[in-house]
Amino acid sequence: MLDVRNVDKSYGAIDVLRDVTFSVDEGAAFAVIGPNGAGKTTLFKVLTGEAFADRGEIVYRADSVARLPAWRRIGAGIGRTFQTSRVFPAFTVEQNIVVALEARGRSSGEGRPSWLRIAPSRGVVEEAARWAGEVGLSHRLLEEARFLSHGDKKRLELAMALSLRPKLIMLDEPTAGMSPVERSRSVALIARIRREFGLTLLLTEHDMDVVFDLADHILVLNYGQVIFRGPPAEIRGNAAVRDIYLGQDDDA
Amino acid sequence: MLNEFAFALINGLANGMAVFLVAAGLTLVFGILKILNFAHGGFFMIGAYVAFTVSGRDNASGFLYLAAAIVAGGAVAALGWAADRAIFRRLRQVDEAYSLIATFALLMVCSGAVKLIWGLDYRSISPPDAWAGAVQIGPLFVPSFSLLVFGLGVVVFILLDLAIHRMWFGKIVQCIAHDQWMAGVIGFNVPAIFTGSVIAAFFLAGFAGGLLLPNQALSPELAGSFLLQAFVVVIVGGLGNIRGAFIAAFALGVVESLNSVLMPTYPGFAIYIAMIAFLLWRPDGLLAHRKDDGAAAPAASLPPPPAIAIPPATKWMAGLIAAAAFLSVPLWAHEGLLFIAGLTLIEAVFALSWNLLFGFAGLATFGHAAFFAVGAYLVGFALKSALGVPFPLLLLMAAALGAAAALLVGSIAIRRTAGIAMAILTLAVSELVRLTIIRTHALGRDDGLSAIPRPSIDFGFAILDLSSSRAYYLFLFCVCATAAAILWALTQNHFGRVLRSIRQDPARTEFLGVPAMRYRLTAFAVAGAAAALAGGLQAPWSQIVTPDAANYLHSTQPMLNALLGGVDFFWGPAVGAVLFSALAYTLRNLPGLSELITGGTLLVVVLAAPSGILGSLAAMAGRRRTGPGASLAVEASERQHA
Repeated sequence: MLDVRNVDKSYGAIDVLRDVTFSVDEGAAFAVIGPNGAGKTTLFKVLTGEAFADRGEIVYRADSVARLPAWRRIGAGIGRTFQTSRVFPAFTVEQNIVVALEARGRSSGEGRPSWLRIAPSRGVVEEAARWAGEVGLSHRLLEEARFLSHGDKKRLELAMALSLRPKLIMLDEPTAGMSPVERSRSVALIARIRREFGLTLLLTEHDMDVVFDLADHILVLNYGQVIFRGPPAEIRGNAAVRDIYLGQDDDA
Repeated sequence: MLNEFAFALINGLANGMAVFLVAAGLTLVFGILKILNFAHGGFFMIGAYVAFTVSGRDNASGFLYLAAAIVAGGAVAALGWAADRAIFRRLRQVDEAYSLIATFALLMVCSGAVKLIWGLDYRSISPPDAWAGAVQIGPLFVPSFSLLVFGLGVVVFILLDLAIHRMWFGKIVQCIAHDQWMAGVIGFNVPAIFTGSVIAAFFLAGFAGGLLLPNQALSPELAGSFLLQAFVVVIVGGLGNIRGAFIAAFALGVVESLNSVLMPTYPGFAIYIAMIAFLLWRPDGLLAHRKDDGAAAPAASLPPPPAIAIPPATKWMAGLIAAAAFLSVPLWAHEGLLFIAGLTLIEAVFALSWNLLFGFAGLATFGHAAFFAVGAYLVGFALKSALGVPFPLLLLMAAALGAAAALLVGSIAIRRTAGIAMAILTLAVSELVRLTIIRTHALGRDDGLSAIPRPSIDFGFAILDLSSSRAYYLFLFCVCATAAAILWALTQNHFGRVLRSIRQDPARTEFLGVPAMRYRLTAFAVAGAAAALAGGLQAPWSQIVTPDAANYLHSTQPMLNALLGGVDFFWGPAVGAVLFSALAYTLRNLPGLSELITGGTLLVVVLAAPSGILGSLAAMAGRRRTGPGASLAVEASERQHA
C-alpha cells in the first residue's frame, strides 16, 4: 500500500534520514520506533508532506506522492494525527468535525459544499455527531475544543482524521502524555477502529507496551537508518535493537 | 555622468546614514522588546522638537547642537521608559498584529501631543555655522552637513556594534533578549538590565531626532518622513540586527542614488521595488537568525474569539435599528453630517473587507488602502472624463480591478511571507501604488482628481439621478448594505468556516485536505474587490480623490476600526467605523487633541479589551446571563489557553 524507497533527508549538514526503505502492506499495523533523534518525526513529515525528501521515492497505491503537497496526500487517502494534538480551539467538537467533513466533500467531489448555503448541511451535521460517538465524545459535542482535556483532544483529532475516511492513517505518538488509564482506553479505541474500518495503520510511539499491543510489524530507526524490520516477536531477540534501543531500559 | 553619479551617491549615502540613525533605535527596541515600534517615528519627532526647544531656530554653535541632541535623547529615553512600563510590557504576550496596531496608536498619541505642545507650523532649522557650508571634493561641492550626518552614522554604528558584540554588557543584553527566564535563572538582574537597555534604545531615538533636526522642515509630519525607510532598513537587515541594519542603510543609499540618476522621474520607486524583491528572496532579512522550521509548533497565535456569542435576536434587532438610523439620516441631518454618514458607510465596508483577511483568514495586511485607491481612481477617472460607462458597471469594474490587483499582491505576499514581513511587503506595495499615482499625469499627480461629477443611472425606462447628496446617499446605503451582506455570507458559509480554521491553524487545515493557500488567496481577492468598491463609491461622494487614498495612514484606518469594534465579530469593524467617525466628528475642531484622544482610546482598547467593544459587550451580557461564578470559570480557562 505504501512503498518508501531509498529516502534521504538532511537539514544542512545533518543527515536525518539515510536510505530509508520499507513497505507497509494493506491492512497492516506498522510501528516506527527508535530513540530520540532517530528521525521518526522527520520520516513522518516526509510521508505526510510537511517536508519533502531530498532523494528517494514514496509510492502510495501505485502513485508517487513524494512531490505532492500535504493537502493532496490527504485527499488521496492518507490521514494523520499529530504528536501534540491539533484541533481548532475556538470551534466546538461538532464544528471541528464538520470542517473536516466538508473538506472531504470538497476533495472527493462527492458533496462539494455550496457557497450559497450558510449553515452546514443536515447530513454533515448528523455525520459529525456519529463520528463524535465513534470516539466517545457525544456528550461534549457542543463544547469548544479548547476546554477539552488532553485525552479528549486526541480523540477529537482521531475523529477528524477518521471522518476524512483515510485508507492509511498515520498516528504520531497517539498516547503521548496520557495517563495509564487513558492510554489503555486509547489503545482499545484505535484497535477497534482499525478493525471496523479496515484501516492500515502507521504509528510512532515511545511506549513499548502500546507498540506491542497494536503493531504487527515494527521498523526501528537509529541515526536515520533502518536497523530492524520485522514482526514484534523477532524484535525481542534482535541484538542490535537491544543494544541501541531496548538495552536502555530492559525492564520495560 | 560620473560626477552626477558621484554627487548622487554622496547624497544617497548621507540619507542612508540618516535613516540608519533612526533605524538603529528601532532595531534595538525590537531586539530587546520584540516589538516593531511604529511609534518610533513619534519618539524621533519628539526628540527633534525637544532639541529645537533647547537650541532655538538660529543656533550657530556646534556644541549647543550636540548638547541639544543629547538632551533630546534623555527626554525621549524617559518617555520610552514610561511607555515600556505602561504599554510595551503588556504587549509582549499578544499577537504581532495587535502590538503593531498598539504602537501605531501610540504614534497617534505622540503626534497629537506634538501638535498640542508645539503647534502645527512648519519650521526650518539651519545647521550650526561650522557645518553650514560645502566642502570641495575633487570637482564636487558637497554640503558639509551631509558629511557630518554620514560620519555620525558610521560612528554611532561602530559604537553600537562594539557595545553589543564586543563588550560584556552587550552580551548580557543579548542573553536577556534571547531568553529572559533563563537569564534570570543564571543570576542576572533581569529587570534592571532590561530597563537599562530600553532606556538606551529610546535614547537613540531622541538623539537621532536632535542630530537630524537641521536641514529639514520641522513639523508634525516629521514622524512619518523617515519611518517607512527606517522600517525598510530594519526589515531588510533582519529584525533586531544592528549590523544588518547598517548594511541595509548603506544599500538603501546606493539604491536611492542609482534611482535618482537612472530614473530621475520616478523618485523613491527603486527602494520599494528592491525591498519587495529582497523580501521575496529572504523573508527573514539579511542577517536574521534562521528560524528552525518549527512546523510542529501550533501556529495559532491569535487569541481565540470570546466564548460567549451574542444571541441572534439581539443581533437582528441591533442590525435593524442601525440600518433604520442610517436610512433616516437624510431626513433630519444637515449636509455636513450627511456627508460624514456617507463616509462612515464607505469606511465600514472598507474595514469589513480588511477584517475578512485579519479576523477570518488571519492575514494582517498593512497596504489595504492600495485597493481602495485603485477603485477610487478608476471610478473618479471614468466619471470625470465622461467615458459613458454605466455607473453600476463602473463599480463592478472597480471591484474586478481590485480583485485582480489583490490576487497579484496576494500571490506574492502570501506565498513567500508571513507576519511582519508580510505586513511590510503589503505596505511597500501600497507605497508603490501611491508613488505611481503621484507620477501619473492622467490621475492628476499630487493634486488628485477633483470636481468629479456624480453619475445618473439610465435604466432605459427611467433615469435615476444621483447628483443630489440625498439621492446618492440612498444609493450608497443600498450598495454598502449589499456588499456587507455578501461579505457576511462569505464568513458564515463553508468558505468562512475554512477561513476561520486557517486562522486558527493553517497547517492543520491543510491536513484536512484543504489547499489553505488557495482559500487565503480567494479571501485576498474578495477583500481587494470590496475595498476597491468602497473606493469607487467614495470618488463621486466626496467628488475628489487624492493620492492620500493610497497613503499608509489610510491603510491603518480599517485596522483601527476593526480593533475598536472587535475583530472576532463580523460587524465589529462597522461598529468601530461608526464610533471612530462620531469621535472624529465631535473633535473635528481640535487638531492635536483629536489624535491624542483617538490614539489613546485605541491604546486602551488594545490593552484592556483586545476583543473590542462588541467583545466586551458580549462578555458583559454573558456574565449577566450565567452569573459571576460561571463566567469566572470561562475566563480562567481562557487565560489558561492564552
